Amino acid sequence: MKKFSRSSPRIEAGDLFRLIHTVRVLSKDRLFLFGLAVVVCAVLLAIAAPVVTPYASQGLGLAAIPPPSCPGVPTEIAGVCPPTLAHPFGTEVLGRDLLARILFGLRTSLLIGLYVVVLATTVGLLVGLTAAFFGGWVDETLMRATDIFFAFPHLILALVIVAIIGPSFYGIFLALGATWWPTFARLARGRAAVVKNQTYVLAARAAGTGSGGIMFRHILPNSIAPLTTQMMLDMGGAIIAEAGLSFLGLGVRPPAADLGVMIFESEAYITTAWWYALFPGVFLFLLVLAFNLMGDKMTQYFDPRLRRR
Amino acid sequence: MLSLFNSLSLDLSRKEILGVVGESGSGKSTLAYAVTRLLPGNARILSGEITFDGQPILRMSEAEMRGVRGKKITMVFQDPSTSLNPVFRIKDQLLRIIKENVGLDGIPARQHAIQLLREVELPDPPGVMDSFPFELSGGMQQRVMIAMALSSNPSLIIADEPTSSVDATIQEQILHLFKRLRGERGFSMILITHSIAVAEEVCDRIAVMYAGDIAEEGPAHRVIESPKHPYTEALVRSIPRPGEGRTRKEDLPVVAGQVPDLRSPPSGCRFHPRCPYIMDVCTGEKPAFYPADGARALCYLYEGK
Repeated sequence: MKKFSRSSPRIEAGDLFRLIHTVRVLSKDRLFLFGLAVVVCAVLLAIAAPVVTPYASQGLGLAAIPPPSCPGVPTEIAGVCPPTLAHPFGTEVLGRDLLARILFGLRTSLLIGLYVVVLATTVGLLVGLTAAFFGGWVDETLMRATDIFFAFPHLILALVIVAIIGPSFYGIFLALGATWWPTFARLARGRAAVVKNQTYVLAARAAGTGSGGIMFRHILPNSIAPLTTQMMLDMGGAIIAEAGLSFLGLGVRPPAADLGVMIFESEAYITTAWWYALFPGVFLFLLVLAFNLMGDKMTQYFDPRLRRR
Repeated sequence: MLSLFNSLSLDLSRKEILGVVGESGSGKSTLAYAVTRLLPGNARILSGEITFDGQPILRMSEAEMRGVRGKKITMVFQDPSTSLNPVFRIKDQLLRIIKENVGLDGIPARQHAIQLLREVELPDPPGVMDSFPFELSGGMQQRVMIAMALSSNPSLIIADEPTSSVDATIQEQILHLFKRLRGERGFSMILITHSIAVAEEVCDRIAVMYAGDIAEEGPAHRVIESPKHPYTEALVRSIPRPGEGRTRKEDLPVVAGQVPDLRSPPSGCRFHPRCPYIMDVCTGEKPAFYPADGARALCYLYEGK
């Protein structure tokens, strides 16, 4: 217990506290909680994939050899069997369990989302903070370069980059990361330009703190909070972009499990095997929806102008 | 391009509290930032000298300057609620400053920090150490800022309107704290304030600034009791004093007019458009400092006296 009386927490005191306050409010928001629950489930399932499902995600499925006993399905789609107790989501073209493929595919999606957002945030923060901190021609150069990246749609630019470095997990990660940072750079610059002129930065300089200390202990920690909602929204964006690129054959390559790849493979069976396209699609949909819901709700509560009441 | 200070010279002795008084825009804070070389990037010091402890501040390298800033010269700012970094606990900020400017670490640093917080009369120093800035009241935050300013035992503290954003009771306490600490530690201090009453309370000497000039400068009691410059005179008259027998209908005297726009300052004496004693000579050449009764004033009234 502290002996002195505390003044009431002032929300404007700092972004971090606004963030904590936001989280407190959000913990009562049903849609946010739904999004959070979906994401937590997805993460747990992805981590525990080998435990949850007895089947492997790669190689030939058990259903393929010997030829599956799934009556009524034409022989040309031998490996594709409808849901049974043993394979609750059915099997796919090579006879692999669809649930196992989806769970391992979640790993790819979440990892790509995380990597892309972390890369984009890091680069964006670096560029934005440098621009705001030094100002002048450094600011102009960096922000005009950012504008050039903004001029291209995410996917088009990513397509070009993947085409250059080749389709793979790391190719797609670099391609998406390279196209995603400008948003963060702009956000970080805007925020840092405000923080830079706060009295505590001046006070720190008056106390003899050097440029590095000012940047990393004062400007950086006070500029991060507004980026968190953007990170949430961009997780969803990056996941769907990755699935899209993989669907086009420019992302993760078979045999690796990936939701986009699975949806691409299911294309030929869309009229004969409903489960093949449906289950990966539903998982992808839920995951992206969850991130977007969380991001939207965070924006809504974070920005007082959008807050109801 | 806007030239701020034309005639400005100030001396500060050891253990002295100098009050710099003036309206908003008179250049008080700019003066303070010039001393610590923290002027904004678009400001240039074209000529002049600032000597601190025999060292020429304006000719020091940035590295040398960092050995002065925060160590020998520290600052206290106007709004304590924005002077502390909101994302770190007090202990993180205080211990960091102690580490950088005093060179203490670990337990000695913590003892030093607690000692400082006790010295600025904060209750429950360990509790304060564990608090975030927003958990403290304005007065407590300002005391923390003062503790930080004291941490390296500086020889000069520049306080830029340290009591303007706290209420009258706290203002009184903080001014007394400054006086007591000055007595105990013997630092010099520049107290920047817009309130001549605040300056009167703690300062040994007062410099009154007007539009980037020092209008009058002298021992505090002299300046207050017998102001020489017409501007100081008007300022002193505007201090409300109890028992003056002023009736309700009588307004408190004010200094008529506005601070001039420094982009096009008035010719001659910068105060002449608002001066009740205006003479022909005032609009022409700028006046020089003339000694007047132990003080000095930038006014033709004292020419040749």
